[in-house]
Amino acid sequence: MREVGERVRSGIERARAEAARRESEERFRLIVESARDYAIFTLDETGRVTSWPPGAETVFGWTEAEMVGQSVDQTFVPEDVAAGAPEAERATAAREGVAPNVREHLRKDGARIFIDGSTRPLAAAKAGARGFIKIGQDVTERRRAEERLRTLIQGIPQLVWRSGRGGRWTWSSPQWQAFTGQTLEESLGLGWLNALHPDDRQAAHLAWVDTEGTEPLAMETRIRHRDVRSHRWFATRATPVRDAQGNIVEWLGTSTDVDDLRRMQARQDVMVAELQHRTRNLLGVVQSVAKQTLRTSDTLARFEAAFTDRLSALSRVQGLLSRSDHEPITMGTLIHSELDALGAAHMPDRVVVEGPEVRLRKGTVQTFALALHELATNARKYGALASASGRLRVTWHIVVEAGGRRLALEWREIGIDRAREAESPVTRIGGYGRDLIERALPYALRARTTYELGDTDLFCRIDLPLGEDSELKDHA
Amino acid sequence: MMVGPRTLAGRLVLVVEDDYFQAAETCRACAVAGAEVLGPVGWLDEALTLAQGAEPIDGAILDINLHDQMVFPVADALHERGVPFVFVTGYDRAVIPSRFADVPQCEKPTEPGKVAQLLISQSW
Repeated sequence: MREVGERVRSGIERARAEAARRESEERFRLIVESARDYAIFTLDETGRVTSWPPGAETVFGWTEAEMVGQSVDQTFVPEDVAAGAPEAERATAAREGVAPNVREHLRKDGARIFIDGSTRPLAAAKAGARGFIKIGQDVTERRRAEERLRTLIQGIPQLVWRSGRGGRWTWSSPQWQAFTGQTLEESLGLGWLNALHPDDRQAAHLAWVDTEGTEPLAMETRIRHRDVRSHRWFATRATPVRDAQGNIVEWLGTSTDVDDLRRMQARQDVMVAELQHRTRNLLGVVQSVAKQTLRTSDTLARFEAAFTDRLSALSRVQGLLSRSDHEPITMGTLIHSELDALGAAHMPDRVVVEGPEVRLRKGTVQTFALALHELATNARKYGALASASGRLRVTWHIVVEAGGRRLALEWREIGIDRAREAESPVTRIGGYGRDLIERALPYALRARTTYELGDTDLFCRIDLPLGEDSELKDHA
Repeated sequence: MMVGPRTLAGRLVLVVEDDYFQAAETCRACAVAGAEVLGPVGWLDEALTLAQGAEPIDGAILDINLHDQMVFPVADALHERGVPFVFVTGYDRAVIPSRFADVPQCEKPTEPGKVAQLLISQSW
């Protein structure tokens, strides 16, 4: 009875154990088969597939029928097969207990996928029948996303870096290293401070201490360039990365080159101030032209004619000045601009203009142009160009003196009628034009001038300093 | 605003202005107010020579930009001598160094009579 009882009991226990084992296997099978993101499959010792659950089919594309009994080699890329990677992996797994399997694999459709997984030896179910289990996840998408992010981070012009608390860097991008010449190691911790302008280091460090709380970090500092040994201004921004509890894990930062921007801003400020100054000055000039014209006009009609004429000359020279950055103003340009305005371009047989290309200083152009205008308009109304027989000859050359180079301009009119010429506001002593030539040019331009009216001719010489030698050279 | 008759009578006023006609206008206004003019000069070096010279200058009218050079060294020299002066300029107040914050400024285009008036209010 007892024996029978023992046997029954042990039979029940065996049955229970068997049921438990079956339940456990069933649970394991369910887990394996429902893990669709993972390829979990087994191999025999020679690398032939012994099981191929749905997850493996999803990841690799081959069905169970297509794979069971086939070599696992076809899941490897040809270059890895040629290098003996499948055998090496199994050997490592058998020897070490596990072999990492992080590499590209092939899908049935020929596409390459990236698997992150491992290979382990199976405990022997039956003596001599050892094999392996491979578990792997298709991380192709994640790797591509990471790759894209890396490409983005390394491709953007900004210098990118990661930092721990207090500005202790844990990583710097290749751009940072390329710009500063620091190695990755040199930039880590507070090493990056060494690439900053010495005057900016303390402020940059303090900015980190101050931001220790929570706020994004923002500062502008000069960073040294590896080659030119000069510094450029960078705008630095860093944003904290937080964990689920809201604690700051690290900081991600970028430094953007704003040197050109700052330079342009500074230049713009100067230009705005300069424009302001020029406009006001020009109004001052208009005011004095109006006053001088008023003083020397006996009727309102004459004032209007003369004033309009002078304003036009002033306006022409503003046009030349505004283009002077691209088109340097030369003596020839200035003369032709005045003569053309009078229609003298249509009298080539009566007007000769000759002289070398000489660039004029911007500061001299306005006053000089007003004086030339007085001479030209006078020639047209009262002088050489007012009669049929008159001739005008304008020549200039460069004179080198101890004090520097000077431009000597000669204005000669022949065949004029002195009686008519004497009515001219230029010729009249104390008239605006003559005042301009004989007084304003010497005063404002350090010019030397002579103005001589003969019986049938008029001679005016204006000689003024040219400034630096570079005046003659053309811009590249 | 009219300048009172001979309010600058007997005073020696330095006129620094790089434009001839504006300088002439300013000189006329000074003469109307009874002043004697030192200058006018339009170049920094000449202005500096006069400002540091032996002439007993009583006041000065300074154009700020003289052929692209700033007149401030002249202002410093005058300040050192205790000579009152006013600025005449097309620039915004911002270009004037803060040490001259108390110095009156006339913006171009100016009425020369007003400049003289301003100088009078500065000194006497």
